[in-house]
Amino acid sequence: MAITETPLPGNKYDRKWVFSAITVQGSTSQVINSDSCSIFQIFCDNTGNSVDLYLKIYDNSTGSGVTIGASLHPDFILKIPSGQSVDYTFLEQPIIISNKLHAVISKDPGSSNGSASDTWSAVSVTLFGTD
Amino acid sequence: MAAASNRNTTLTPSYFEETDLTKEGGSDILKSGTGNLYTISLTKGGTTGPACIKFYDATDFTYGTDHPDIVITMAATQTSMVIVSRTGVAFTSGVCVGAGRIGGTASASDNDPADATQIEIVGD
Repeated sequence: MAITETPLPGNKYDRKWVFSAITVQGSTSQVINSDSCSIFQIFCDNTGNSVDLYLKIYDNSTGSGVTIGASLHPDFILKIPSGQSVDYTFLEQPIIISNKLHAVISKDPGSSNGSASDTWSAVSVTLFGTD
Repeated sequence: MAAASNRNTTLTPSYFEETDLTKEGGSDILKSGTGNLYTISLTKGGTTGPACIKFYDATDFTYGTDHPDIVITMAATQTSMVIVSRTGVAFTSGVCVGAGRIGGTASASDNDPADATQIEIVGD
């Protein structure tokens, strides 16, 4: 899996984070952005799978990945329905990340730790926001 | 010249609202049972604590035990948020909603949001 951060043309304060080619949950989160930020829009592509997946976001001060599971409840969970690309747009006020932006994809909803070895076909998540 | 109307009068979406969301906010709230959520409007009163609004793909749920499929956390200082999905978010079993002070699954002993949290949903 890979994470890229791209300043959007025309406004140096806008950011696009691409969390791509995700095929396995793993046991810890990925650090998407190592600072506070706001998220205005999230696009998830799950067209290559026939199983519901979940994007779990943690607002955490740890610089390395956090351990997935009920000992640390995700602050945000977004459903990525089976075989569907789905968009979430946050109007009026964005998702606020006060510490660092952590994320993970899981087959299991809620705070479940699922299985670190759970796999699926490649899924990509694109987040639009501001540092 | 009058503008052409683009209103589709054949659409009869579900609408759900609650003015003071608790842990057991509502069960099986879509008119058609299953389907898509398109718009979620949230308003948080006061400035105390976060409000974590949770959606469950089920016809009924137990807060603190069942795992929510969507969790939206509103920070203490936030007052309103509107979530729009052009594609819709598919729920295959049903839609239930609850809210607490802790994200994720939380626990049965979790508290309701400290301040009145209002929710309006438009779905199938």
